[in-house]
Amino acid sequence: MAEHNRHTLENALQQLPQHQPPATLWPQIEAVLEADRSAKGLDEALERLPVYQPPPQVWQAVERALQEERDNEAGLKSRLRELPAYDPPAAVWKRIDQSLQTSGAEVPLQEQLQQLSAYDPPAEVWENIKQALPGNADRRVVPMYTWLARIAALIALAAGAWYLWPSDHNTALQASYGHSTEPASLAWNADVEGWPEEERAIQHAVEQFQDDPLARSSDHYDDLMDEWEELNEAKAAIAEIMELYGKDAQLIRQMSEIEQERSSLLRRMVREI
Amino acid sequence: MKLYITMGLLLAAFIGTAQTSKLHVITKRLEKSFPYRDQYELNIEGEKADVLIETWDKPEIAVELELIARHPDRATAEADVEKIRYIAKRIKNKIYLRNYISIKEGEEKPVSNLQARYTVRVPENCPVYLKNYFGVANVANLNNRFRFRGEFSNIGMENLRGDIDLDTRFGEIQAKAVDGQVAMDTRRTDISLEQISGSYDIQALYGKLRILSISEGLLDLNINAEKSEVFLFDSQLLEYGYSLTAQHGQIYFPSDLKLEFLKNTEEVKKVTFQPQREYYPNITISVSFGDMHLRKEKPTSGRY
Repeated sequence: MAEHNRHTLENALQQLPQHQPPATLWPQIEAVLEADRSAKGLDEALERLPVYQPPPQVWQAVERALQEERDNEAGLKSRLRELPAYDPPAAVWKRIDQSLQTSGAEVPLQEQLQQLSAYDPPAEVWENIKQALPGNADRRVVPMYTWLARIAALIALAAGAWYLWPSDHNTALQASYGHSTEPASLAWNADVEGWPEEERAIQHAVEQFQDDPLARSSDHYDDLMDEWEELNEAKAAIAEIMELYGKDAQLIRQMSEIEQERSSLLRRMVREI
Repeated sequence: MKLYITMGLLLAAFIGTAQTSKLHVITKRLEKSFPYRDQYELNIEGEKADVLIETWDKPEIAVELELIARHPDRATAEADVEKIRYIAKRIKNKIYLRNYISIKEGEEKPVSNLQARYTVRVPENCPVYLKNYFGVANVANLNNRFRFRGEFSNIGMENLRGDIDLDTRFGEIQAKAVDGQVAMDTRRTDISLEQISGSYDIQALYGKLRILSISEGLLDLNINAEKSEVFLFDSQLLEYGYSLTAQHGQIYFPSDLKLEFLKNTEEVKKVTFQPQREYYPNITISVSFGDMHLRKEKPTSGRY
């Protein structure tokens, strides 16, 4: 319906007369545009142009065409509503019902077929059929349910393999415990703290080295201080690991070496003072 | 009466001493295996750990981790061994092993002597990256890539090939029959190398470096040692080319090794030598604030 309306409207518009502005108008427009182009711009010039409307008879023709279209549509709808309504006779519904029941008739037929005696044809019959098949006589037609069964079996097999396969993500570490005894080594009760007085004396010597102007002017000053810091950090690291893991011979030996190096370095510092 | 009291006190003291002279050792043993594929890498991060890495011909990485606690009181040792945490898992193509101590809030610090011990078997082409903070590591027979970052940890290597990269601080390196592209960056670490072959590049600071013997496959040896002492022992010293520099140090060498002094001042000594051969390994050693020693035979005993 919309397409029809559009078509009718287009026809009506095409039949409308063409109206051109008077020939003198275009030069006037050009003159105004030229005059205003540099001064006020195109927009202002356009605003000052006169507005032309089509003659009233054009709009009247458009309105008549649209009204005629609306009348046609309303008349058609009215006539449709006036058509009489008919119900089909009961016999028609009965016939439809019987035809829908037709599939139910297969059940007794199949029961009858099952009661029939089964006869196997002679082997040569099958052989002849096989020979008569074109080309691929060995091809078997596999029913859909067989394929579904195979796919299901494959899925089950894959799931089983996935479940049973040894995966390093799933195997938790199994812990077992053992107990034994051994004699305590000397390291168990070894004293590695040193004497606080001694540490204070060392610190005092280092401070003197740091305060001594002659030592500070030495080329070795920065190197010695860097080395001292490194050894102190190492000593702290060993002390920390002893705090966590306890003392053993290796740690005590490492601490001993660090202390020897600190002592050696301290002697060098003292010589610089 | 006094005699009995005195004997009783002595007995009590003896029992007390006897009790502390025995330690209960609790060992928590964990095992795990990872299927190995090419491009996998084994990452071990040990803390106070003895790490042993060996190779085998199975496409598998097998890990045995023992966490050990020693204490005179058994219950204390049993409780403390559980304070050593561990990780053993594969993430993409990296297999991570780690042990550490983590004290939960409100939990007491362990008082036992604690230790971790790894025994790891890998295919020989498995790249290994080992970090150890205190402890000892021993690695053998790898032939692909081995990286080691150690602090206060000793490392022993035997029969390794491939790319070998060591970075150590306050440690000790002992290597025998290591062949390949070998790079060492060491600080306060003593180094002892035997039967070296391939290309070596060694940066050493505050250490004692000993080359005990050189194999036929040596291509070049570059040593840059600062505040360190370098020893090179080999019966065929005349077979190699040398470029040796000592700043504030001395160069000691056998008399039949006719080294040519390019510079011989109090501060700098520089010598070179080229053997009568078309191809020979180049040995470049630069030492500052230390001496270098070239000897044909290593001492059979004692310190050197």
